[in-house]
Amino acid sequence: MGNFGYYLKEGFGGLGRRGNGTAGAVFTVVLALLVIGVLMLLVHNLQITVEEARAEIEVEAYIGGTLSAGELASIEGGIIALPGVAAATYVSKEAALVELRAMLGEDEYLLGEVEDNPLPASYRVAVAADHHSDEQLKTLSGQIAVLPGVTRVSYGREWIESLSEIVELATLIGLIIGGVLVLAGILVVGNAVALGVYLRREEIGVLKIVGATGGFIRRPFVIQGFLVGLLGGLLGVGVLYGLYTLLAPMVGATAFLPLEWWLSLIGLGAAVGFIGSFFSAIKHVHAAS
Amino acid sequence: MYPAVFQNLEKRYHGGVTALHGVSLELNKGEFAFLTGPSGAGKTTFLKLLFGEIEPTSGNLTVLGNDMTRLRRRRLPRLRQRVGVVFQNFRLLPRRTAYENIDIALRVQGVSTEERRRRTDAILRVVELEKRAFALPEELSGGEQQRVAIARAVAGDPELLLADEPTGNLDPELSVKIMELLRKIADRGTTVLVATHDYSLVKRIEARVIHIEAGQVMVK
Repeated sequence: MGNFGYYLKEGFGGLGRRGNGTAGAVFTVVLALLVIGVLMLLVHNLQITVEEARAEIEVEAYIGGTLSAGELASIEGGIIALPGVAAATYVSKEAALVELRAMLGEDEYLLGEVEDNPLPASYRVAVAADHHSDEQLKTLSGQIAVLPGVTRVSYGREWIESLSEIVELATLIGLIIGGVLVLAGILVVGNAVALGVYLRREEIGVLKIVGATGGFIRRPFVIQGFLVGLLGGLLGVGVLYGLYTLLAPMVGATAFLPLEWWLSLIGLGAAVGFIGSFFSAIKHVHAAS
Repeated sequence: MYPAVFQNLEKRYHGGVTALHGVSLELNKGEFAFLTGPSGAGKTTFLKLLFGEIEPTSGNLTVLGNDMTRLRRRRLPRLRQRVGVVFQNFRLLPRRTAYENIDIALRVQGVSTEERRRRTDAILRVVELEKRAFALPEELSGGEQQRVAIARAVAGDPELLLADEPTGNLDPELSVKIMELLRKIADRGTTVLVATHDYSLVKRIEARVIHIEAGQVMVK
């Protein structure tokens, strides 16, 4: 590619030229990536919250009646043997009541009328870190529920599941809005290239006369579009980071995007620029003379 | 093999205007020929057919071995690299120096950097513009611009050189110089066809004259 330097120089040259829609195209890409980036931040921070919640998940296995030490040991052994179980702690009826009293605090008097301890004993099962998915939790609690002596199993399923659903919904909305914005970015870059081709139509005509191939004429425009996208991506992520440091403490966000995510955002910008200019150049250079 | 062969060629434009009809002739290798005729007679049409800007309506035209009635668009650039074209209004790239205007014609052919430099320097000497190499077209006189345009057209060593009224914008003295330059290029083996309606120039140079009048060709 002896002419690569030439294409690059021409592409950069086109970037700096005024009045050819380049600045507007960069601005559009920045805006698109900013909106997508904010949605990504939202999803990412929600994911972190869900992960943290999952990490604290305990499966509680309630035990009916009064069991002997031997029976308890066999239940505990059965629980521990299950895959994904990190630890199992026995909570006696008395301990459960103490916990409830503590939890009620000032409302403890409510328990005053209760003569018998109505709370069942239970095993609190800590779940291994690699067994936190909804599916795995469901399987595990099912396995615990069928152990003899266990009457009921519970874990904070609904809460975790609805949080997961929010993350999924936010991701879906992000994909739709992101898709629309990416499309808009592609069109705006394409328009800038079309304008650039129009402004340089005489030059293009001369190049065709001296035997330049379509590719030779198009490449500077495609490089220019790629640079527009890349620049938009860099600026977009920069502004996103600025906004994050400014606003994160107010909304309780705890993490900026991971490296791969924001690098992907920049890559997305570059891809938008490349795709927009590639197809626009094919369409318009062909027609120009 | 003839660089160009016309066989009973006809060109009609949209709207039914017949620009050329019944054209049958050959251009010989290394010959210098004039294409004459009044304005609107079909000279430009004749030239445009030769570099694939337009296609014949009927009949046959072969240019450097390419059948122009069925030339694929993708093959056109390669053909144009073998056909140099010079226009009355020069058609130089305005934001590029004389040197770059010549260099680009070699660039599109994928000529290496050193080879481009060598050939551009050499051709600038031929057209006596080595001192104006880094001037922009707007800084050059008409004659200088036309010499750059000729240099660009011949830099890639074309087999066929077409010039459409190359002296139309130049004064008589310069016109003679440009014609001598084109003549010299033909002596090096390139077929040169010069369209002009300036008969005083035609008389000064010994050459075949292809005369077009009302779309018909007469060879003198």
